Amino acid sequence: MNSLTFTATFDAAVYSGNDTFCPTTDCLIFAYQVTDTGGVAAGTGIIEHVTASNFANFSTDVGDQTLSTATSVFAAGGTAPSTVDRSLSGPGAVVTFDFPDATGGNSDLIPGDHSTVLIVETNATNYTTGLFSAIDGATATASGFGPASATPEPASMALIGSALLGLGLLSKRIRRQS
Amino acid sequence: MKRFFSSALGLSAMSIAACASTLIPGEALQSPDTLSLTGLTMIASETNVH
Repeated sequence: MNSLTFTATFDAAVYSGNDTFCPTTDCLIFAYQVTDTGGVAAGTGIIEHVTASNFANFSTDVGDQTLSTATSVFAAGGTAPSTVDRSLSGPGAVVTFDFPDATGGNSDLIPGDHSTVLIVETNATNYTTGLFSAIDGATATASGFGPASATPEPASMALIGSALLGLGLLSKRIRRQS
Repeated sequence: MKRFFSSALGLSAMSIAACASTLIPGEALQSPDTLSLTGLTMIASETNVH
């Protein structure tokens, strides 16, 4: 990922399991980690925001995890986001992780640093290609993972259809009796 | 009737508590939750994406 002010790489993974929205069934959890690989010029290269999309029409719980040991996808440790937010438009299509715009501290994401594992818990059960961006005035975007709307299975459609038919017959019978 | 209202109030409180840590559309600058990947099954991944 190259922008006018920084270069970066990112890692992403989709997990299945219980989360805030699905305590007993399996839903999808999306995880991302960005690594700031350099500034284009001296004094540049800070990444202030990292965004992931498209989460429109899905419930989200947004946070991060600092891994104590690296996994096959994600590195241990890292810089944690200071705040998170979610766009009003979409609705809620874009989830943003914010990093402080300050050099010299331990909390900013500067060249050579990587973020903690940025996590979005959802109520989604399918995934598709999403977008992942890193921003510092200029934006760099790459394809990542995002949630996809579930397509009703034929059996589910048949169940809904028979329920509607039953309701129709019931209301007809009530009308005839009255 | 009193019991009905009490249980409705209890259910409302439970649903508010369940949503307390979620991020809804338009939510601005919240502290990130402490989440965990422990116990989850990875189903897809990509690394070193440029």
